[in-house]
Amino acid sequence: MKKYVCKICGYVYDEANEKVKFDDLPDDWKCPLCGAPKSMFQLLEEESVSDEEKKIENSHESNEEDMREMTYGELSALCSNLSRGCEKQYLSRESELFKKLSDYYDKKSKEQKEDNYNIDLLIDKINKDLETNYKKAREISEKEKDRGALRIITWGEKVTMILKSLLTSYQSKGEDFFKDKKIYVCDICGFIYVGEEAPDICPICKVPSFKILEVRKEVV
Amino acid sequence: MESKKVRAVRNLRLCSKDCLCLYVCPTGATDTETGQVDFQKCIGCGACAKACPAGAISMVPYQYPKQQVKDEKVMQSLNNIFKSKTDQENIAYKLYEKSSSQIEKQFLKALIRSNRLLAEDTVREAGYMLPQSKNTNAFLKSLLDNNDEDFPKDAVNELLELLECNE
Repeated sequence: MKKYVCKICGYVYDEANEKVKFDDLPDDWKCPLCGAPKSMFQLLEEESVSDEEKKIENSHESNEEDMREMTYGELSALCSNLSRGCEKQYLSRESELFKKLSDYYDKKSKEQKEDNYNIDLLIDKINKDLETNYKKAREISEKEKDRGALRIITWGEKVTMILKSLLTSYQSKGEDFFKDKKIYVCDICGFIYVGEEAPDICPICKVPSFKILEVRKEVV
Repeated sequence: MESKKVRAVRNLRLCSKDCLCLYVCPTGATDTETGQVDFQKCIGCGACAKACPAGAISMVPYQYPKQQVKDEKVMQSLNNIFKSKTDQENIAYKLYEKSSSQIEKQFLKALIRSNRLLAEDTVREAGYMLPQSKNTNAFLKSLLDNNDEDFPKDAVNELLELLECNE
């Protein structure tokens, strides 16, 4: 009897309590808690890991520039983050002003012409995040004991895994993948849920469902 | 009033209109039509927060403590993630614009939103948590160099005036 754990939300599929062996579950079986695909599960073994993590230590890339120019996209997200920060302190005017700056940069970012983008490019970026960026950030943050940084690395890495699985499912199954389903985004951590009804709490950041918002189809 | 350290704020989502705050407030600061507490009248005594059965009022500081100092390498590694997420938001947006399918647009919209949230949360941990921090202050000042006609510089000036740097 084996146990398998969901890499996204931590749900454990324990063969001892189930009628079906994990390997015999259909390919389109999903995590009952967060909807992650079967491929997101890993065999639960006592304290294994670390080999993979050790490899990363040797794969350092040098970070040349310390202060780079920010893109319009970065400037917009920095300002919208500060707008949220003001909102949390009930500083409504300040929040509004940062929002105005964010919108300005957002518009600039959207105006830039680019015709060669495709889904593959998005997946490439995600792979680089998962293979390099998050692992490197985790290693450094653990060394520095930066709990705040570790929080966003943990949430962000999980959300990124979900985005990857959604994009690859969409690539292989097309729009059928979303058939008769709704799409939700957790307004706290960015988790995307595809299904009938939003989960009671976000499987990643654990915020209650009123913060998990539906993304509706646009009326044509 | 420089001596006031905290002020009451009401979480409108939690407020169940029991109105005990009105009853206990010594200055009538909670008696407003906006639903929010009148900061001019609030003396920071905390009576409303203690009396509220819904737990909808909390006392927030005027002066927040300094932001934690971040290690340079942690910030750099988070900035790489930040940049990547904003790039992904941008790619998703450009695909959204090009797409003519209702379902694909809906999915891309979710991706845009998700990446924006990831970017915001990442940059927050990369030294931009507090609007009153030195980093934010330096960032705002750097924006004053922008002389583009359509740039809302008045917003930057107003923010510099309103947000006192706490470091």
